[in-house]
Parts: sequence; C-alpha cells; structure tokens
Amino acid sequence: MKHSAIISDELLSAYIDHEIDEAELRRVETALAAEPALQHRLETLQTTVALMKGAPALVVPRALTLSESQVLAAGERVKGVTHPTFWERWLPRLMPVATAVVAVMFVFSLVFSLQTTPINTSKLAIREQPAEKPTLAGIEPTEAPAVMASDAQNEAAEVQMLTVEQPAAAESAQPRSVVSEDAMPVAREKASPRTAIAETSVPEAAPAAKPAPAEPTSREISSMPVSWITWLLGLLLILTIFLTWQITFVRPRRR
Amino acid sequence: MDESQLIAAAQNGDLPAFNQLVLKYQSLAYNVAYRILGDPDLAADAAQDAFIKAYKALGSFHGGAFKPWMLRIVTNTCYDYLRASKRKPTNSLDDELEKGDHNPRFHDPGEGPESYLERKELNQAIQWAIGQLSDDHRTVITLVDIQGLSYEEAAEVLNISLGTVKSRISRGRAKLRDILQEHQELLPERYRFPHRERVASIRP
Repeated sequence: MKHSAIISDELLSAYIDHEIDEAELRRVETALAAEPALQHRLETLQTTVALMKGAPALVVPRALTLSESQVLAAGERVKGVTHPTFWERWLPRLMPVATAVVAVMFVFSLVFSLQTTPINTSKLAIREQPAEKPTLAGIEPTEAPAVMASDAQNEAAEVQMLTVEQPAAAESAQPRSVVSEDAMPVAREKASPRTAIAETSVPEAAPAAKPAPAEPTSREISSMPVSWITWLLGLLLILTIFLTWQITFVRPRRR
Repeated sequence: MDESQLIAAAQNGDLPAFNQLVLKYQSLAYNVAYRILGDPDLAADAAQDAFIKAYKALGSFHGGAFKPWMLRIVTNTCYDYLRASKRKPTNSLDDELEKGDHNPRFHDPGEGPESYLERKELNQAIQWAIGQLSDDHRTVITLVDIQGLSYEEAAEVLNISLGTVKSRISRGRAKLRDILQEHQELLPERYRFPHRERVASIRP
C-alpha cells in the first residue's frame, strides 16, 4: 500500500508545525523516505506555509487609539470625565412621551365630563314605589329579616337599571322615595333588617324617611370627581409641556 | 507600566492606559482584520470597533493572556462585518489590481523599489488566494500561518477545539496550495512552487 494514501494532509500539516507525537513522526518520516510523491506533497505544503509566513505586514493607516467622545458615544465611562446620569440621559426622551400621555388623558377626561354633565343636571333618578307591593304585616318576625334583605338587594339592582324620568308636577301626587344614581349605598343600608322593615311598611311609614332635597343630587355626586380630575390633568399637562420645553430647548442651549 | 497594570488602570476607566494597549496591539489587530476582510479601510474600521468593544468588555476580563482575548474580539468583529455587508473578500484578481493607490502600505525595511514591487505583487497574490477560502479556513490560516499563533492559541481565540484547528488548517493549506499552484504566474519568480521533476531528481 502506498504511503501517500495513508498519510493525510492533516498529518503533513501537523508534521510541518511539529504538532505530532513521536509515533506519528516516525511514521511520516518513514513514508517520506520511501515515496517521492509524498515528499512532493510535503514540499508544496511547506512552500504554501512559507508563502503565508512571508506575507508582508501592513502599516496601520491611522491611529486606532480611542477618543473620549468615541468611548462616551459607546455608553462607557472615562475617568475624569463627568458622565450624564441615568435621568439626564433618559429624561429628554421620556418627557415628550409623558406629555403626550397626559394630553390624551386630559382630552378623554374633558370629553367624558362634557358628555356626562348635561344629563345629570337635568335628570333625577326616581323610582316609583310599586303600588301592589305587599306589606310585611302578615309575615312572621323570624322570617322577615332574611326575606326583606334579599328583597332590598333586588330593589337596589332595579334602582340602577330602571330609573325613570318623572315630571316635576307629578312629584307631589304619589308617595315615593327619591333615589340618586349612586343608590347602591342606600340600598345596602336598606338591606339591614331594621331599615328594611321601616322602608317596606310604606306607604304608612313613608313620612319617616328623609325628604329628597336633603341628599346630594346626582349632578353633585358624579360630576365633581370628573371635574377635579380634568382640572388636575390640565395642570399636569401644562407642567409636562413646560418641563419638556425646558429639557429639550433651554438646557441644551445653556450647555 | 506593564501590561497587567495597564489593564487594571483601563478597567478603572483610565482611557490613556487603554490606549497604550491599543498602540501595542493595533498592528496585529489591523493585519488580522485585513486578511479576513480583504479591504484596508474596512479593516481599520473593524479593528477600531474591536478596540471599542474591548474597552466596554474590560470588566469581563479576569486576567489571563490579553492577546488571545483581544484577538477573539477582533475576529468576532470581522465576522460581524462579513455578515452585515454580505461581503466576500476580494474574489477577483482584477479587483485587487484595480485598487492601485488604495493598496495598503507595507512596513518599509529600507528596501529598494524593485523589492517593494515584488512584495506588493506577493501580497496581492496571497490576499487573492486566501480570499478564495471559506471564512473559517481563512481565519485559521491568518492566525496560525500569517500571524504565527500556535494551535492552542488559535483554538483559544476562535473558541474551538484543537482538533478543529488542525482540521481547518490542513484543509485550508491544501486548498491554498492548489489555488496557488494553479495560478503560479501571479507569484513573484522566486516564490513559485518547486517542480515535481526537480523533487524526483534530488531523490536519493
């Protein structure tokens, strides 16, 4: 068998670089001595390696030393140079975003306020007392609290869903209770056994309930928080616009 | 200051200390980048990018040899450049020759113009030939044959096994030999390959 077939280029490369062990070294040298073709292969490889090793070294065309500005641009620190803090770096980018968010919230708040206010000022949520509603006179005292509590809860749900408009003239015609839009707390209060009994004993017991004008109207309850939020957002918007202007235009000019 | 002191100072943000290291390794970094990328201007950019990356990564350097660590960053940056630009090193010898005055400058050991021209011719032939290799083979040939790193150092730089280095270097050399033998006329006269007859004639 020819040696050139069993001596690979990999082994010859390692032989050129003296990267083979003793056994392989003896094997390669024996083969080289016996076969001129293998010797030629080795010689051409050696010439190739010599060419590469003789490749001219190039002169660096410009100094590759780093300047402070290059390092700072890469976000790195340099000893003796003041570096922008986290907020100094990010605030100019965050402020316009914050301003935009506040502006959107302000507009939404304003639109919501304008839409809800006229409805609440002209309408009162009034619930008719059902005429055929049975009194609890005939019910056993032990059963009454539970039954009446559930009844009161149902009423509370109805209050929200079935509020009706009532002409002002009709207010004095029938005994009724005036319920605001936010009737839930009132309804929950009614759910307690004592007040439930008092409430369900109407129409006779109705005069005992407080008259409607003493309680805040729906306009007072619902529009006040919206107005406050709108005002607050408006002020916040002015503040963010001012800060954005300061950070974006005024401070860079000072530097 | 010795190298370890310069590294320690640079790790504390001392830029002049780091620039001392840059001056020491810039020639190596540039030459490696040039052989891998095949373009002198791109090589300078890649080498500088590599130094910026090295400065940023100094915190992760925990001792050991700085040269292979630095060369790893250089070769990785070159691979990034190759990937980003989808650029192959010069494939055409005509392109290489057309560069004319844009060819890189060589270290001048006080040689005459004839010798300089010969080196220029040799450089063009070598650069064209290694440009025909795959990126991996070209990088190993550059590190081991041109820059003279040992197999172990090359394995450390490229983060590959010793066996892979041996395999790549032998395949790279075999391919280079075939290319250069086929285009011997590109080489200066005294660098050409020996003829087989001559080898046969000197056989004992």
